Order: sequence, then C-alpha cells, then structure tokens
Amino acid sequence: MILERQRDGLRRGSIRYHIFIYFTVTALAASIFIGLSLYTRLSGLMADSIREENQILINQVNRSVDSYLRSIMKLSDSLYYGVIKNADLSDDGIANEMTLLYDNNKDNVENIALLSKEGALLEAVPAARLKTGINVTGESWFQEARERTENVHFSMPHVQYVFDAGDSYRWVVSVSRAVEITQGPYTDQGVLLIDMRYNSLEQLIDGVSLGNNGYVYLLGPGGRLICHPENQLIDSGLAKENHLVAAEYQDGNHIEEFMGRKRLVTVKTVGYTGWKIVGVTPLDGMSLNAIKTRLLIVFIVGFVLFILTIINSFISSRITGPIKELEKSVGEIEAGNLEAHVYVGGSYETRHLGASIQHMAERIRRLMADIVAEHESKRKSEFDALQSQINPHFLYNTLDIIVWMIENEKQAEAVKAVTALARFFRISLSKGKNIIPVSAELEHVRSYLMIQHMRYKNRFSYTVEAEDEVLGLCSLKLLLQPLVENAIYHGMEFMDGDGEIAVRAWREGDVLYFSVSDNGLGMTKEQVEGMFENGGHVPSRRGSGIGVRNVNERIKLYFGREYGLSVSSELDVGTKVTARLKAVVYEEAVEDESHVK
Amino acid sequence: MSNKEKMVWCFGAGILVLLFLLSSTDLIIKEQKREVYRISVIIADSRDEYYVNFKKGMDKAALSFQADVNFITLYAANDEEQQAELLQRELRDGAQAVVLAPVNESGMLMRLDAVKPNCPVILLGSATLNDSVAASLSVDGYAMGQELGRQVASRAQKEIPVCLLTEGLSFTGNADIYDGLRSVLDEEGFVCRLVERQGEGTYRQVIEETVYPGSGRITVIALDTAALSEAADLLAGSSVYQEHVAGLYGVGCTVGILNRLDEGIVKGLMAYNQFDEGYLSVRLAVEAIQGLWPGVQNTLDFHYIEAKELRKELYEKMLYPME
Amino acid sequence: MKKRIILAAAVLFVCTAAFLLTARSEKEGEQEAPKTSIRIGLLLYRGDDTFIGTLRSSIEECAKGYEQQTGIKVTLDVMDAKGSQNTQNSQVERLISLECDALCVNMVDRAAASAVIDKALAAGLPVIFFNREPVEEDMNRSDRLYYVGADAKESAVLQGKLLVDAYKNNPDSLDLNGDGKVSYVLLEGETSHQDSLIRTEWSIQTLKDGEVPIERITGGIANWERSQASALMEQWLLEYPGQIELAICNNDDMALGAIDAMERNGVAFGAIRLVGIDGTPAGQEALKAGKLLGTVESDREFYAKAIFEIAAALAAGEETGYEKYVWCPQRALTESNRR
Repeated sequence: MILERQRDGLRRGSIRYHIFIYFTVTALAASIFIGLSLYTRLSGLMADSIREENQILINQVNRSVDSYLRSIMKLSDSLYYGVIKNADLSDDGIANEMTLLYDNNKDNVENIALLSKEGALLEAVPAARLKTGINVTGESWFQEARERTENVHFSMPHVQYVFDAGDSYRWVVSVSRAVEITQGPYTDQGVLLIDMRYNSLEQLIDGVSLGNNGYVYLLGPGGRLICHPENQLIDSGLAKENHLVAAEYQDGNHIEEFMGRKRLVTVKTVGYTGWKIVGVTPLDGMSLNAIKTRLLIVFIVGFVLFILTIINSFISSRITGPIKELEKSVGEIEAGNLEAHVYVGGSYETRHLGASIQHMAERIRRLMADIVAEHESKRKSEFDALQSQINPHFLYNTLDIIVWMIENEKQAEAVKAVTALARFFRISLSKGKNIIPVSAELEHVRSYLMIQHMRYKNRFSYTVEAEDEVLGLCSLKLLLQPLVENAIYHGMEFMDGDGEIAVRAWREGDVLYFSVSDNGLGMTKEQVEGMFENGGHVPSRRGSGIGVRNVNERIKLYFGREYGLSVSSELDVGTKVTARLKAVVYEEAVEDESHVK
Repeated sequence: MSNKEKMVWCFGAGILVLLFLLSSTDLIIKEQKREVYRISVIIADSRDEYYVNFKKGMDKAALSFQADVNFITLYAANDEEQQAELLQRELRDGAQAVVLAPVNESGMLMRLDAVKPNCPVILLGSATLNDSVAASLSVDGYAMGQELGRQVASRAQKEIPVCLLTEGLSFTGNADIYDGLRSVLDEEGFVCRLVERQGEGTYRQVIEETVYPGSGRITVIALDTAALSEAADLLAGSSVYQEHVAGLYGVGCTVGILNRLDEGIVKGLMAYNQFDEGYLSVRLAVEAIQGLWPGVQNTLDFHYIEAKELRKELYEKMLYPME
Repeated sequence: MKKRIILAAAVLFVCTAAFLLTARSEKEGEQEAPKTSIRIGLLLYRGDDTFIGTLRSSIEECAKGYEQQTGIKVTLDVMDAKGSQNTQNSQVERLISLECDALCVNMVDRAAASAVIDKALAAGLPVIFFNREPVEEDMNRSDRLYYVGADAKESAVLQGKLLVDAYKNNPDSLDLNGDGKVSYVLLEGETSHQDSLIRTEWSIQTLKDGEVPIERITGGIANWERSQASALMEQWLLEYPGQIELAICNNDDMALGAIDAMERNGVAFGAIRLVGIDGTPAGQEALKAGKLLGTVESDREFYAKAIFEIAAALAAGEETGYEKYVWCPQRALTESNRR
C-alpha cells in the first residue's frame, strides 16, 4: 500500500526529487557495500593475524624453554661425563670443576649436588649440607633417577627441603640422573642433582604477553601446572584455569569456552620432557573496540552519504531550478497572461525551451492581434458598406432629378427613374445579405447606370453584358457599383458623349470575372497603386462612397485572398477594372457571413 | 529550501556529529582507562616480619588490579593511638581504601563509627561487619582455637600443665583463639595458665621456671605468631629447655617456625593461607572502590600442620608461596 | 544561496567544536603540588642477607623518624630481588611506574648498573647505590648518582689489626697449638662482589704487615651465606681435624655459619678463633657470648641515615650536603670494647 503510494509519488514527483532519490539510493548502496566488505575483510584478517601471531609467539617460547632445558641437560652431561665419570672421589675433590660449571650457570641453577646411592652428600656446589636427619632416598627425584638410570628426570616444581638453607626457601625444579661414581677401586651408583631455579623458568613464561590480555603457561605430565601467572591463586582456589582440559589437546590452535568467555588456546609440546606450552588469548575482550570500530564504519558511511546528498542536492537544484522557473512562466502563460516574462536560463536545453516558448508566446500574441485587427477591419468595412447602403447624396441628387422630371412633365422618365431608384436601394439593402446572385448585382448596377445616365444626360453610354451561366453564381453586393462610379467620375469627366462604359460578367473555369471598362482619362501607374492604398482615396460623396479598396478587401475577405480587383489603365485611352471571384453557385452556397465556401 | 528540508539537514548533521563522537573520541564511550587505585594497608606491628607471605599476596593483587599499595607499619608495636592517627593521616592523604589490622578491635570500631571514613575500610583479623566497614577478612579464631585444642589434647598428656603464651589477649583475634582453646582444653581436663607478655623476658622466664625450680615439664601453646616464633627460638637455643618443654604448639607460620617444626622443636601449628589473605584484602579493597560494596565477612581456612606434612604437596604452596 | 552558506558554516562550526572538545579532553593539565609526601624505592639484592636486612630496618626507622619530625609522609617501597638481576630490573621499572621520587639500589650484579641508571635517569630520578658499588664510569654518568658504602679496605685493615693486636697481646691467643704459626681458613664472599676480594687481600696483608706468622690451610667461597659457610666449615673440620686455629670470614654471617658447624660437631668454644666483618646484631651476640673473637662494625645508623637523607632530600627536590661517595665510619669490635 505504502509502496504504491510511494511509486505514485515517484512518478508524479519533480525532476529534483527523482534525481535526489536515485542518486541517494545509489550512494547509500555503494557506501554500505564498501563499508561492509572492508569491515568483514579487516576483521577476518585481524582474527587470522592474531592466530598466526600466537602461533609464532608460542613457537618462540617453545624454543626458549627448549634451549633452557637443553642447557640444563648439557650442564648435567658436562658434569657427569666431563667431571664425575673420570674422577676418583677418594683422591681429589671435584669441587673446583663443579664450582666452575656452577659459576657459569649461576643465574639459572640453585644447587648442584652429588649423592651416593645411600643418600649421603658427596659434593655440593655452592657449599651446602643436608639437614640433620633427612633421608634423601625418600625424595621422588632421587627415586626416579635410580629407577630409570638412562634418563635425565625433570621434577615438578617444589621447595628444596633437603638442604639446610637457613630462614629462606627456594622453589626449584630438580633435574636428577643416575651416575657412576668412582671411589678408589670401587664404582658405585649415585645420583647427580641439579636444582634449576624456578624463577628462571618463570621469567621465560611470564614475560610473554599475547595480545588482548593473553598469557602463557606451562603444563607438566598429568595435566599438572608447572608455571602459571596465577599459580599460587589457582592452588588456593582463588583463580581457575582449564589446564586439565588443555592437557588433552593436540598441538595447534583450539577454541574453547571457559567461565563464560571464549578463548583461543594454542598448544605446543616441548621436546624430551613432554611438557606443554599453552597460550591463552581471550577472544571477546575486543568488544569495546569492536563497537567503536563498527560505529566508525557507520559514521564513515553516514558521512559519505551526507556529503554526497549535499552535492547531489546542489547539482539537482542547478539543473531543476531553471526548469522550475520555466514551468512557472508557462503556468502563467497558461493562466492567460500572455505578457508574462518567460524565464530563460540554466542549461542549453532549458534556455532553448525558454526562448522557443517566448517566441511562441509572441507569435500567439501577434496572431491574436492580427485576428483582432482583421475583425476590426471587417467590422469597419461592413460598417462602411452598411453606411454606404444608404448614401444620402446620391438619394438627394436622384430625387432632384425626379422632381425636375416631374416638373417638366417627363412622367415616363420619372417613373423609370423612381423605379430604378427603388430597385437600386432594394438591392443595396438585399435584406442585409452580403452575398447576392450575380443577376441581382447586375440589376443593381444597371439601375445605377440608368440613373446616372439620366443625370449626366448623354454624356456617356453603357452596356451591361453577362453570360447566362454566371447569373446563378454568387457575387458580392455593391461590387460593381463603386467601380462604375469610379469610372463615371474619373473617367467620364472630360468626355462629351463619347464616353463608353462596359460592364461584363463571364466565367472561366472556377473563376467568375467582372469587368468595368471605360475609355476615359486613364490613370498613371501611381494613381493605380494609390487606389488600393490605405486612405489614399477619399470616399466619394457623389456615389456610394465605398472605395475601390473597400471592394477589393471585401472580395478578399469573402472569397479568399487570391481573388480581388485588378486594374489596367492607359492614359487617355481608358481604364479597365477586373474583378475575380470564386465561381460558386448561389443556392448551394452556405452563406457564411464571413466566408463563401 | 523549505523549513522541513532545513530541519532534515540539521538533523542529519547532528546524527553525524554524534556518531563521530561515539566512534572516534572518548567523550561518550569511555575506553576503560587504567586507573590506579591507591590503597593503604596499616598493620598492628612495627615490623613486617610476620607479613612476608601477606605482602607477596598483596603485591600479586596490586599487579593484577592496578593498585598502588602502601604498606604501613606502626612506630611502636600494638600502639592503638598511633594506629588511629595513621588511619586519619591516610584518609586525609586521599587513600581510596584502607585495609586495617586493628590493634584493638572494639576500640577501632568505635573510632570508625565516630570518624565515618569517606572511603571503604577493610578489617583484617576481625569478623565484624559494620556500616563503616566495607568488608572483613579473618580466620575464625574460635574454631581455630578449638581445632588446636583438640590436636593438642590428642597428643599431649593431661597431667602436664599447659601454658598459654600471647602478646596480649586484648589484641585482635587472640581472645577468640584463647576462648576456643580453653573451651576444648578445659573440657579435656587440662590445666591451663595464661601468660601475657609483660616485657622482653616474659616467655624466657616462664620456661626458666620449669628448669630452675625443677618443677617438671609444661606444654606450651602460643596464641600468636610472635609468641610462637620467640618460644621456638628460645627452645632452639637451649637443649635444656627442650627437655623441659613437653611440646610446643601454636598459631602462625614463618619460615623460621617451619624450620623448627621440621627440626621437631615445634610439634604442630595452625596455619592459614596468608598469601590469599593479602591477595583478598587488596581485591576486596579494589572491589569496594569500584563501588561493588562487598559487605562480606570472608573467612579463611586454617589447617593443622605437622612435620610430616611439610613435604607434602598439599600445603607446600600455602606455607611457601611462590613470588 | 545565502541560506546554504549559513548552513554549511553551521555544520563546519559543529564539527570544529567537536574536534576541539576531544583535543581538550586529551590534554591533561599538569599541576604542581607542594611535596607533602615522598616516595622512595628501596631495592635489595637479597632480602635474607642479614646485613642487608639490618640495614633495611635501620632505613625504615630513619623514615619513621623523618616522618615524625617533618610531618612529610614517607612511603618506602622495599623490593627483594632474590639474587636475580632480571627481577631487579623489572622491579626498577615497576617502582618508576609507581612514581617514586628516588631510588636506593643495592645492585645484584654491580656490572649491570647501567641498565638501572638508564631507566632512572630517563624518568628523572636520583639513584643512591649502596653496599654493592657500580663501576666509576657508570657512577660518573650523572651527578644525581650517589654511592654509600663501607670502605672495604678499611674494614679489612681493621679486621687485620684487631688480629694483630690480639697476637701482639698474647700470641697464644691465636697460635693455639703453639707451633709458631697461625693456621687459618678463609671464608670468602661472592666472587663478583668488590668487597670480597679487597677484604680478603687486605686482611691477609695487614696480618703480614703486622708480622703475624700465618699459614693458609684452605679457603672457600660461601657467598656471604651462613648455611654455605656452615657446610664448608663442616667439611674442613672433617678434613683438617685439629689443624684449624683461625677462621677469617669476610662477613659475620659466614662466621656464624662456621660457629654453627663447630657447635654441631662438638668443637669447643675458643678452639678456633673467628673474626668477621659487619657487626650485625647476631654477630654482636656471638661476640658477647665469646664465640666470635672480633668483628668490624660499620656505623649502621650513619649508613642508613646517609642513604635515607640523600634520598629524602633529592626526592623533596632539595640539595643534599653529602658527597657523591659516602663512606661510613667503621670500628673494630672485640669482647672488650663492644658496646
């Protein structure tokens, strides 16, 4: 539901919104992708590197412990093979040689002692004596050495009791072996004891810190702890360690959970003694850092997104701003304000659009102005025509003639004049129609000519000729009469009875022709051109008052621009005015006042 | 830019700043800064001879919990006034916790109630719990006395009178041990005599008395470490004394006493894990500073140790703590 | 457009403010407080060395006295290296991290002093060495290094002299079997300790100079320890029964160990003469009991006082009137002139 609304909103949304959404979604997807992949990669690498590092550290510790144990064993060997075996204890003491070897190893060795198989102390370096009443043969290191004579035995750490040490005690690891002692002619078994300082072993282990509060400890046979940072506390129960389980592990890395925490346990076995070096690294202690790291990734993603959004918003504004302005301008125009200023700006396309819309608005304005002008002129023409339908001057003059005729008892002519006048005015009005049949128009001009002939007594003669087929076609009302009027008043002025006016109407194809020719003064080219000009011709008081121009315009208006008047004139020869009209049958014509189809 | 848009921008910027502060700075999520806790330990003695193991445990705890422990001894042993003064001084100097082995338990408690210390106080050797005391750490003196009494009763002869030596019955812990001992010994029918130290030669005199007037033998039981140590040294120095003292038992273990135990001069002793005592005292102090008011009475276990047990692994780490 | 600029400026401002805040929270102001307490670290090479133990108690008493006198609290951190230089090095580091104001160091290995000096100087701490002397080159590295000790030659000469005096008084007191020669055994201290060699050498030399006819039976190294001396002496008693007349010991502990061996083996008092050096309480007791012929006592109070006062003065940031090398006065003690 919501999705549909969104989609609708999206479709209807502005360009800015579109760009914004698409860009933002892309940026978000990209940054999340980058962020996540980096994070997983890095944390994977980190976990791996910790594991590797642990392994390396443990190996190093192993090497140091190994070399330490080896050096003790070498010492034991040197003491035995180098000193004890070849010496006859009844002769010379071996104290000096033993002291030499002891001095070289003073840091790691607490005591060196040679004991007989009954437990008597034969030699000790540094000087020491057994505690009174002590039975050495009961000690485990003594017994083990006597049982397995071929090996060097490493004991568990313990406090060395057998020697008189005053008010101090030392933790040692006893390294014992069976030896052959020569005393005089007798050889016998004995035990060589080297007490290794526990501190030295501890230092090898304690100094190592694995990452993240990790530590290393040393495990002996049977899972007993040899060295541990919290050895004392584990013994009294204040701390706990999973050493019994760790004793079962094979060499290598293991993940275990102990006391609710996940740890990485790395195990390596030391040679010869079978001791195990165990490295423990807690895996969860990185939580705080991980939270911060995750937040950092989120922050980076957010930041990048924010910046991109700002840029994106800026860019889209730059693009869509002008479009918006243009849209507003178009809106105004649409609302009817054609004068509205059209915004032109922004990118090339927008500017082009703006300019085009501006031109179009102008053209519309002009066209509308043209239409208005056209209507105006039409009204004017019609008004003129209307006005001319009843020209008082012509009426007065004609009535004057009729009065004279009546006074001079020329009744028949008076009747003719009155009749012609009536006919003239009837057709002039034609019930307000502008399009009349050709026959009616010819009748109209005949009436006019008759009257004018009577007035201008024998000044001219006239003919009106028309083919029969044209009589039924459409003609414009008051088309011929103004032309004839012109011919009379301009052409016939200086003629004395020789004037001739010929009105003809014929058809050629689709075109209806009228012509009014006279043999009068003629006109110059300028005068011809002046006839069609605006205001170039003063409406005649003597005739209908409609000018040639008016006729021309009306023809064009009603029949089309390709029709109209044309004048040919020659000075002193004569003038011929030709009217071209569309040949349209009168009955069929739908009289549309503005147009003849 | 409409108002709504502006708000959205500001909101976005705000979230970014918050995320930045969270992730890259320490203003909001604080990394666990390693704070060092200042703890003062005031004991009742003027030297730390009997606190060697305690100090080892204390140092281990100091390392583990990032504490700076100041071990303070009195100018003169068992000086109550001086101890109170030192306590005041430490509180003034800004100790974050004080571990106190009071000379006189009830007196110190009264003082604490009066002073109302502004930092947690842990009592050693006493089992009382108070509003002003955050925790107490001790051995159950009465039970220990009883156990010792039982052990002695099973080994010593009833006819031989028993002499109980102590530095002072009023000193913290001694009274309880005494009561426990007496309850068992009296029941078993032993004749008991209490000797408190009056001066340098008090103990020597007591033992001399057995020799000089020739009145026979005594069984000596020392109620505290100092007495046991001195008695052991006295006996070690003279074989005559050894003849007249049927058996020396007591409470406390130093390396010297253990050597005497080994030699047979001391027949048996009660020991408890002093390393743990030191470790726990610092740990309790740190917990109290961190706000986890322990409010507990911790009691430590005690054991009866004889010479034959010295070699056993069982008590080795307790009697001879590693560093 | 203007609104955008304002918004951008606002965001920038917020970011800068956050950045500055974090910078400020990291910077810790360092306050200079007047010294109301000083912290001194005391590092011993081996805590169960009797002489060192008594010296330590004396230093602690000095500290308490100083506290009562001046009201300045003294924190004395005592560390026992148990004979391991590595342990001592890490103890030095720990004390530096606990912000000690001065260190009093009894080196385990006197040749390894430079490591300690490096660490201390880097932290700006003065170091007062005592009893085990570092080499001159190390001591001259800074004028904040001091040494307090007892002149070994002087103590040996005093030891020799008291023997010479005893002989001059009554030759039979030394030459017990009357064979005209004083047969002696020698119990020496640690090989690496500067004092052992000097004491041995000058003791014998003084005797020779005093024209005492001495004859060396044997000698051994007991590393200043009572138990080792006891073991050696026991061996010699078995090896040279009745031959030993004099035991010259580099220190009192070893003399006491020899006495222990004698007692165990039932040798009567006075059958063998013993001399030691140090004047420890136990030694003085033996002197009183007549078991020990004589010893050389260094003025322990002076010794401890010197160490402590130099340390306290330097820790409090003041000057000290002591020289770089402070030698403690010593005197021979015999039964007659013991305190």
